[in-house]
Amino acid sequence: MYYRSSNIAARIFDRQISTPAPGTSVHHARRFYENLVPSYTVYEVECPDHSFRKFTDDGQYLISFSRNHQELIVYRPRWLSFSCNDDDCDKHDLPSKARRFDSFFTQLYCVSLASCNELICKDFFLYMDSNQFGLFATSTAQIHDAPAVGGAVQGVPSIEKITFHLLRLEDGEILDRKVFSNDFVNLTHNMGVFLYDDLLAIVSLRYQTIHILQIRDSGNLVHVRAIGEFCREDDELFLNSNAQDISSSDKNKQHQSTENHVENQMHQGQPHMGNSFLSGIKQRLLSFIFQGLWNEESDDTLRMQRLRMKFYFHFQDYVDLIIWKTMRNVTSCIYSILGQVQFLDRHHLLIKFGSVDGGVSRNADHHPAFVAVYNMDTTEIVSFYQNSADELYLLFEKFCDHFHVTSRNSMYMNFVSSHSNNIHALEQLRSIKDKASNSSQFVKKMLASLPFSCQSLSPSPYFDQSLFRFDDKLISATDRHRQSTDHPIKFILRNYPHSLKFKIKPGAHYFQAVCILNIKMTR
Amino acid sequence: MDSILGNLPSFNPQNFSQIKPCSDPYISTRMTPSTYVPTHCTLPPPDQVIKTELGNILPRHIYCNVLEQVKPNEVAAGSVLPEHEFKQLQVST
Repeated sequence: MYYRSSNIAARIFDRQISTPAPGTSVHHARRFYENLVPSYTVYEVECPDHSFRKFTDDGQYLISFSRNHQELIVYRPRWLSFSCNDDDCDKHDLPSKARRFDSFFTQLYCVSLASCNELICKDFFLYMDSNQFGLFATSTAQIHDAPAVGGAVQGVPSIEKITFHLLRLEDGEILDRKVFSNDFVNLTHNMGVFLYDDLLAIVSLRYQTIHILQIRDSGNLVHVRAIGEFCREDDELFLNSNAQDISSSDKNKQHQSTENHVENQMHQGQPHMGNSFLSGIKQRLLSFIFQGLWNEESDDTLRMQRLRMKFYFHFQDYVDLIIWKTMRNVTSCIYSILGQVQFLDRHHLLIKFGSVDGGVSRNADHHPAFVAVYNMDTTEIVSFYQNSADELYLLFEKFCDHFHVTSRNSMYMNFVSSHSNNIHALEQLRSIKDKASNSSQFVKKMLASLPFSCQSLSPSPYFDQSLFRFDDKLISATDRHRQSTDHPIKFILRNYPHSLKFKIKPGAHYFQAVCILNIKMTR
Repeated sequence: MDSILGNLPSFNPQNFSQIKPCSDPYISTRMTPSTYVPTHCTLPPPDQVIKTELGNILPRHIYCNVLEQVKPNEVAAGSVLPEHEFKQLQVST
């Protein structure tokens, strides 16, 4: 190892004559961002009266919505440039055109997405960078006390119409739409929808179904499968072919269930035809638990005792109220529903089961939850954890960046800092862990973020923890609203000379500001 | 003894004339690194293919954890791992 200058000219020269260690060429290139930092803020820029959402990760588009939340306006960033050849360039002010919004952004189009009684969900936007498609959502108002009819879950609100719009961002053409009627999908911060490559998973909280759609290159949204009531494609056909037998046995069971569980007659999992079969996903879960308990004992007598005690004794509770701390320690029963989903790869889903209150609220940290890994091809539950399970936390600690699945086309997303790939982030995590008074609460707090929301991390190198140190309570790579403070947010170099490189001044006075990059020659 | 560099052109002809080759056999000017000789065969298996794993390693680890839990508790005859039975369409008579 030898001393490397932080001067940008020296770095460029060094790049000419030496090659980085194998597998570190991208990390080496990212170090140039230590020299390329924002150093100028333009204030009082007159901006259009829009609600600005975000830049696409490839920097090609700026997404914004009209104030009435009915129109989509897309801008193309122009990245105004300015150069100065004088000795003291810091005293030079920027040209007047730097104070105009249209110097930086060009409006491409304005498209109306929502009709009269619909609003665009301003917290929802997914970007497919391979085809430059954007996915937006519009919805009517929520009905909080909607009756649980047609297999709907009691307690989950209903939205008369939710529409997903797939647009080609290049020209604003609406390629396809997908409508969900009298349903509820949690659209806040993309929580109820997950995009992986060309696969889209949409969680219907109200009907406890995961809809898997494929986005074709032509722009069509093709329905692939629905996981919930049925798991395999031919489950419904098989059940329908036995409808006569089912209906006759249903009459007997419904008569019994009417006497004993009047309030739970419309509980989730029952197909519309009115039979007493549990939903497919619930059956898979119960089978997984049964197999786990069965395989724990080799002696037949002990095995049956264990099953009787831990499975059959609570079976009716499991049908009505699904539980499970772990398959070895079943102690409590809560009402849990399918809440949030993410892809682990094209074949596996990570599904979170939570309580009804946790499913529809923004902060579900205080509600018990369970996480299952589901194989879509074999329709089997692979593993099942409570949200305070140490096994799951170990996986989270070691493979955090693998939970953040990224499209194969988005190479820049592979360099987002996490405690699994960055020593500084890991030290931060360990510091929090050491300070935590209760290990179980710490694990629960960490695992509350699973499953991760889609496209919730910024790939910006300024959030690379090996390059810059910053207060993650004030700002971080996670796409979340944070309370503005009067204190400037400082970005300090991780490497020598550990100096303050730039700062962002949030606050109401500075909301109309544009930070400009300036290449500064450092010694 | 004249140095092998003594006859080359130089600014000062007296340069390199004082250098004498070392006569001590225990201090060699050539550093020969010791060679590691393995005690076992280090050749790769003949059918080994090295390729990049395209899939996410996380599901693989999850499956490994599941297998580790199943193996100690697995009973040859008693373990319930039913094969997938294909459903048959019942034709009403």
